[in-house]
Amino acid sequence: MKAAILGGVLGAMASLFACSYLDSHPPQVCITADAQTDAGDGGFRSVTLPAGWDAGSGGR
Amino acid sequence: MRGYAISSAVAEAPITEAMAVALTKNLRRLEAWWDVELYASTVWEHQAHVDVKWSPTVGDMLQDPGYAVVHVVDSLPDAPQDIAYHTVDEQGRPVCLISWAAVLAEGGTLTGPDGLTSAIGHEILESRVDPTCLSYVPLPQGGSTPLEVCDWVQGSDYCEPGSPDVYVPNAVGPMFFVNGKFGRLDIASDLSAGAVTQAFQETPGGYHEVEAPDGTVSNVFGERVPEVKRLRIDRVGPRGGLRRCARL
Repeated sequence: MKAAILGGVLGAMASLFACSYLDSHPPQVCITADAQTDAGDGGFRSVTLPAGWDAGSGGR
Repeated sequence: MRGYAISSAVAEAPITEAMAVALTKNLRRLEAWWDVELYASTVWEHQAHVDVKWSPTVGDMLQDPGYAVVHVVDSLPDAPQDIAYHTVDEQGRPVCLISWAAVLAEGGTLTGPDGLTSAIGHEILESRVDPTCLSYVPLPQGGSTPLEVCDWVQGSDYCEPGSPDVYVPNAVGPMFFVNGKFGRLDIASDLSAGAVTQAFQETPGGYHEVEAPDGTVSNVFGERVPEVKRLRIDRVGPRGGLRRCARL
């Protein structure tokens, strides 16, 4: 029982630490403006535009 | 084919994320204008959208046979005056080579108007609509012209939203090739006044090839096409300049 309580307290502290750490050390992802590129295929990366990115109406 | 893989062999002209993102937006805009026709393309596996991969590493070239290679080189070994070259490799996939030296010779920069990014995009957009270089459309005055979506509006590069200072090529939509159509006919008209307002209208920097009914071939240039570009196109033809394929 004591171990479970201790585990819960430690887990909560770890979570708080992680949130605090992420606040000051944001993840290093490649984001340019409204797009994202992901590593893959060796040095090649894929470009992903957000699903809602406006490609226009196609002239219609 | 599932998409394009953009890379460079030139240390002074590496592919950057900003270039890749702008080119992808440019491609998506073209796909919105040509969607019905692209669904019918067997080369592109009936896909409304194809992938864009890119590498910042100079010398990289994607080996995946499912991707068309778009590669920047110092100069084209067998066509030193050309800007770009479209051929097919031993795996049967399109390979587009773009000459950094020729871009510089015509006054271009990495991302400015008529620059390297625009030349890469020109290659991508035209091969997306007509990957085999076999499509022709009839001209109102008779004869025909290759289905080249960028040549007619060359010189009207634009910037995609969120991609400032990276100029990508303008292109015409399918209605541009329907005699009598007018209004918004080019993809840049999504963002500002279009470069053309009626079918078969050429911009001052544009050009197109005419194949007359008697089989003779000639080029028609806008009044602002630079002499160096005019000479190049007259020498190798529009498809020799920015695309080169055998007409079967």
